[in-house]
Amino acid sequence: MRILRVVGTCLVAAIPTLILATLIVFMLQRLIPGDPAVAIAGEYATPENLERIREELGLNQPLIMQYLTWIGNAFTGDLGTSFQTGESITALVMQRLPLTALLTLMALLVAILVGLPTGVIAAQKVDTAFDRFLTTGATFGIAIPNFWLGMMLIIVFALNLGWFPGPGGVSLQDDPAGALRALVLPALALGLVGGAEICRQVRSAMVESLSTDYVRTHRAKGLSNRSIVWKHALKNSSLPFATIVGLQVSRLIGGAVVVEAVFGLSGIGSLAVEATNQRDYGVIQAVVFVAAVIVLLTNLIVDVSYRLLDPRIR
Amino acid sequence: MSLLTVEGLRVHFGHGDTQVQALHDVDLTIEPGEIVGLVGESGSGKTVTSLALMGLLDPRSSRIEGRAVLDGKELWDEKGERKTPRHEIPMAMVFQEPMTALDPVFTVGYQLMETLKVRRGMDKRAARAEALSLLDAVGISDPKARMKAYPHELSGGMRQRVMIAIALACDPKLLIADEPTTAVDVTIQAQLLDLIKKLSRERGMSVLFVTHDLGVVSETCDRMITMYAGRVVERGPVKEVLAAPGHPYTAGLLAALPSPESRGGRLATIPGRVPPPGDVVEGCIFRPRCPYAQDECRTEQKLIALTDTREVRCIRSREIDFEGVAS
Repeated sequence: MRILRVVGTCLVAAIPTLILATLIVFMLQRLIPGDPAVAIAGEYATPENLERIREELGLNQPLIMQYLTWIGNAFTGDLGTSFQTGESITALVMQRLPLTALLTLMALLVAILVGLPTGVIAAQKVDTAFDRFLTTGATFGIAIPNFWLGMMLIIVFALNLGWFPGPGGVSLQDDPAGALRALVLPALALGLVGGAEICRQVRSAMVESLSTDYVRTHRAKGLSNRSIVWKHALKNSSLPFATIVGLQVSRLIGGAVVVEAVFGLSGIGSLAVEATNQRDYGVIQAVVFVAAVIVLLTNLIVDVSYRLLDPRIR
Repeated sequence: MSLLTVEGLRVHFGHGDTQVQALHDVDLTIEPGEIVGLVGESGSGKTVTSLALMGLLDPRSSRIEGRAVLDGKELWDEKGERKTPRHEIPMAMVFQEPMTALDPVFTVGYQLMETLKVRRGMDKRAARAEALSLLDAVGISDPKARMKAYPHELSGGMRQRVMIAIALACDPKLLIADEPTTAVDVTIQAQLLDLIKKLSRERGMSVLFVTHDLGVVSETCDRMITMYAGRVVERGPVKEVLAAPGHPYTAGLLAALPSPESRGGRLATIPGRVPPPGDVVEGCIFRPRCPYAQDECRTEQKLIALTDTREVRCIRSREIDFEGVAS
């Protein structure tokens, strides 16, 4: 029951955030120079023609009306039609989203698999050479831009060693197994940086947990070191862990735009890039809307997990 | 045979040039069923002694020398390394701070049952039944409901009872209680002292009671050991020591106790402070603060026997009548 109430509260609190995020993007893209009617009809179109197109698209309405119409439709699952192709944007997004979702999930998995164990191990060996090696490595990891890491991974593992396919030509619908394999390098490029951040956070949280009085009590009780570290100290460090993983999700979605471009993947990130180039307002708005929903859902999950992980939070 | 025998216990902290010695050849024995008070100011070495016995000093920053045998088991070898796994040593500890000594994200029942599984090899069912009876034994009402409680849902006194229950789950022959009543209020303090005495009597369990409170010692303990600057300076039966202390430091601690007669006056203090570990004092370690110090105190002092049961580290003990308290 308690959890349901929390979920409800968080959902209600998410709505203003969602409206604000989409409103800002809606207004911002109107500031980009260029007219979608010109983009559709071409530079030599007659003024009557342009006017007709603007009317069809609702571009002659006041901005606030345009926004309200759009957001109203968006909440019912209708994201409008593309100015460029006339296709349903909802269908377009649904076609592109699975690849990005899979990429982000794989990258998150990479980040956790790299960050969690290294952080825990570093915390146990605080101030040893091993700990310093790991934390220095993590600092480097955070500083590496993911597009550069992506290119390096392509050069080494795709072009030289040939272990993984090179950029481009991935279709999740036609060849799921091949797509999974093709996503390994992008997931590494996207997730390793997150892994470095998770490692640092987990390490400092674990160092703190391991120096507490209750850990001394557990030692006095005779619990094994393994149980103390991986059960008790880790559960006590789970709030910072949940926080950093939640933050990573939004970072990964942002990073996916760049990494998809580097690896030639046709996910939702490259959709946003294409739409921006073509002034396809509706598509850009839709991508932002979907990204905002994902980030807000992640925050919701993090919020709920706090309450499950720490009984002191009500 | 004594339950616990400690001989020449030394603890060093740090390495190389920065190394300091916190304990100097501490000897102590505890008989089965006996409650022994370990008394001294902050910095006297009483907590270090108990942590060393429990094996809770960080081996990366400390070094242990000497010998300790509990119930026939050597606690560590010549190198100061643990010989017997901790869960096989019949010893448990209750800590000073009940607010932080329990794990905040696990239930009381889980923490108790986990101890029973490790210490006594119980399965879940047996552990559950035993945990309930232990909570009952430490005077917690409605144990079934409390099993599901998290530490933050309990008061300080209740948490300390839970700590005692966890210690009992280790089935200890020796319980080390490190100022277990310092952080709780006076009425709860009296209840906890009674509880520890009762449990000791019922289970034949020895208790090493670490405290700076001589009132607690006189109510609870059979024998007392006074420590000063990492050394034992006096030991003997509580009644005898309190009635006629043999060391000026014990006498000083006694004089500092408030009493009905001293109402309105200033409380006595011992001038100066405990020398930090590493300070070199020529001869008797207490000499700089001792009102009775003489030239003969400039030589190293050994523990000398006053009677069969009493020892004191003061060369002038026989000449001076230190003032005690009637108990």
